[in-house]
Amino acid sequence: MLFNSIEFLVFLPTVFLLYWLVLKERRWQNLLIVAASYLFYGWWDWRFLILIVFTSFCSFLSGLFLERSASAPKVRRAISISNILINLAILVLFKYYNFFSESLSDLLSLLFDYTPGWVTLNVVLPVGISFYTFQALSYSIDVYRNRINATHDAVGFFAYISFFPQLVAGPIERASNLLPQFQTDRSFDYAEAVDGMRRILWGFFKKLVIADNCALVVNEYWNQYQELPGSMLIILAVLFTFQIYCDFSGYSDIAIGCARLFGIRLMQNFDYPYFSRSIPEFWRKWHISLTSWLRDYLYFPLGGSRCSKLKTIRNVFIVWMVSGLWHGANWTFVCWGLFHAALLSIYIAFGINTKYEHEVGHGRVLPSLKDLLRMCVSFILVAAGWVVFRCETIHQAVGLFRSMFTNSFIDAAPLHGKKMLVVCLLLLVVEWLQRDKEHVLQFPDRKPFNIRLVRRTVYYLLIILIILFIGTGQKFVYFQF
Amino acid sequence: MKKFLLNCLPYVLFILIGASSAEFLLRRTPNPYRFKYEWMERNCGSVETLVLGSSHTFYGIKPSLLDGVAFNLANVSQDYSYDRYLLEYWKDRYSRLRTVIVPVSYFSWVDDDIVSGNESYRQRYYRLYMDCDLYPGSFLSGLEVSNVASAKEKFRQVLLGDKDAGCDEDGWGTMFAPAVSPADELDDSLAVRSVVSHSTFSDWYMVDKNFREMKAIAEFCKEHEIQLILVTTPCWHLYCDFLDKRQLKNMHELIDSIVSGYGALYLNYMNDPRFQPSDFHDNNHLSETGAIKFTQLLNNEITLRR
Repeated sequence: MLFNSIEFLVFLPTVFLLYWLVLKERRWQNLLIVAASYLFYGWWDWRFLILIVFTSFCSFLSGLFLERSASAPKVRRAISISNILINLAILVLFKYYNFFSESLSDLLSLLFDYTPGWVTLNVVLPVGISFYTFQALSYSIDVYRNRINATHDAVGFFAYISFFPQLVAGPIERASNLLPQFQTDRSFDYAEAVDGMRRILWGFFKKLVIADNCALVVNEYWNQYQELPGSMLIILAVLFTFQIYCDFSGYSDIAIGCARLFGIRLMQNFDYPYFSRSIPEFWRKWHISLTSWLRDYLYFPLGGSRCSKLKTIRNVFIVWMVSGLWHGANWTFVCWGLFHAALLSIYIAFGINTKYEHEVGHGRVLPSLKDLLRMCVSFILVAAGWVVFRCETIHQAVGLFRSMFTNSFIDAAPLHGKKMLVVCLLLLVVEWLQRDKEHVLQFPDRKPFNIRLVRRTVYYLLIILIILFIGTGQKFVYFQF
Repeated sequence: MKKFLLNCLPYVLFILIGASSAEFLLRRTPNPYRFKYEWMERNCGSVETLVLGSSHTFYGIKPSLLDGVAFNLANVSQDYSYDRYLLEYWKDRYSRLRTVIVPVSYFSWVDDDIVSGNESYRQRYYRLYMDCDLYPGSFLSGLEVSNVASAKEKFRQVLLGDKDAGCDEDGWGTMFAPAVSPADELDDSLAVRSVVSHSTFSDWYMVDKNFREMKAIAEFCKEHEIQLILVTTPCWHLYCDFLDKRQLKNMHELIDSIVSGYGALYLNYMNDPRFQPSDFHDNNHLSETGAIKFTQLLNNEITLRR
């Protein structure tokens, strides 16, 4: 079920009312979460449920076995590795098998003029498999590392893996944050619920008005790059940069908002990433749940930055190659990951990987010229990365970059997407003003925003804008991962 | 909780009243589905030639130029299962039907657009306006407002007071003008290749189903002594150049088996050199002028073969 579907408009209030008004006991509420989440997920294809139940079951059992074998480190290690392998095998089979077999086949054909006879699998990629697999893995690894205790509450655990707001596109939650919330009694909190609704509204606005309308322009012209002037290609790159941000962060806002309606707090996934002064800062603000997952479960075990600069850079490359592959079974994603690894390596090599204490322009209305320049450079680099990310092949990405600089910069044909560029700029202005808040609709406690009528006018305006400028109901970009 | 629900109520009412009013207005908008159903309800007893199929025939065949009483029952993306359903729907009330024209396009045998593809939203129009529930869906997915893009377009039509159903009194689609700049558009190899690739399938799982439906149409025609005419409408030569040879061969093999098995007539205009750029709306659809030219040629051919 899509958030931007009419079915969800009925589903969410129904589950909400059942949750708070009918099933007031925690155990029943968790059971409702599991049932509703499976309905939400099975709406795409009921066969997907087999996989998620299996993944949940394996991780739950591995937790119990790990607890029982507390005094046998070798057994614990074997259990943990087995669970990781099972989860990764499922992921590889459904997501990467065809990619790897085709790549190997191409390589053999190129090197030895031999085309192997193995077949590719005709399997559908289950929605959100990368998200819930990582979430399941984090639980069993944390139990193995004794960071959390294994849970005996099967319903709570299944709710943790399948919690519908964040099931198909994150945030990728940690057991240490989410699982305890399913194991404690929850009471309805008016302020939390209102904030959740605001966040949902803002998420829908970003997704339906900005991302979907950017997508209309981007999808129409992206493949015609050979004929378009350089200026139009730059506009397309910028529009896609906003499309992917509003699409994904919009989804995260809706997910976090929905969770709050059920008294659950999910982690922040975006923190105004386009106001970053460097690429490392961008990655501390973009898809925070994945970046921190990779940091904790891959980068640190590899040695992190507590080794020589050369080894740190090696670790960065490994992590970003995995991150690229996580995003999709295509060489463009691998290249995108390696591009960011190369950028991060430059920051590491020159020791300019600064961790900023405050958001940019803290306590000021406008950023300093130095910060503005840094933000512009970071934005351009990130946008260049998104071009590779959006292309279907490396060949297309190279062609697009080449066309950007070799085609005439401006020609007689009108430029498309100018209106959307203005909308994106307005978004940046609004986000800049609210950058110290969790989300844009957290109004400051001063006039005129402390007047209820003003706030309500803003909400109605957003609803009307959504209805008037709603795009074509594009799927969320991150569903494919 | 009570305070929260009361605070949400105005927004919920705002959306519910808005959506219900929109649904009410949209259902009253003229559309080809309702028009065709109502026409057939009134005139199925007198119809002599029925044109079925997708946009290729909806916009490509003008029934008033065919001999006798003819009606165009085609719709955009209509597949053979809907063709069969609509043909059989009035089966007890036909008294003069003697010709049924069904298109066979490059994608016809492998087409699943209306079943599960981008055009599946059209299922609701058959449900709402043609008493046809071939692919049952939920109540919500059957609402006009649940497809925002088309609802917005129709809403614009309501606001402008446009009463055009999108077809003429014989069911012929009237929205296809000649290509804006025919030479550029039709010879844009990148765009043409992209259109072809959308209709080229590596997975042939739909063939069995579509062939079964076509056989049922052919059997119905044979049983009721109706002449079945399969027709491939004209396409721009560049479109034909990019077609996948294997899919094309398969298309003709399946046509041959219907022709030999059920005595159907097949007329192929796919790469017909008589059609000029101004005859095309795009590389595989005829414009109004092209449709008039094509229908006249088709009528002559059918008369000759009788």
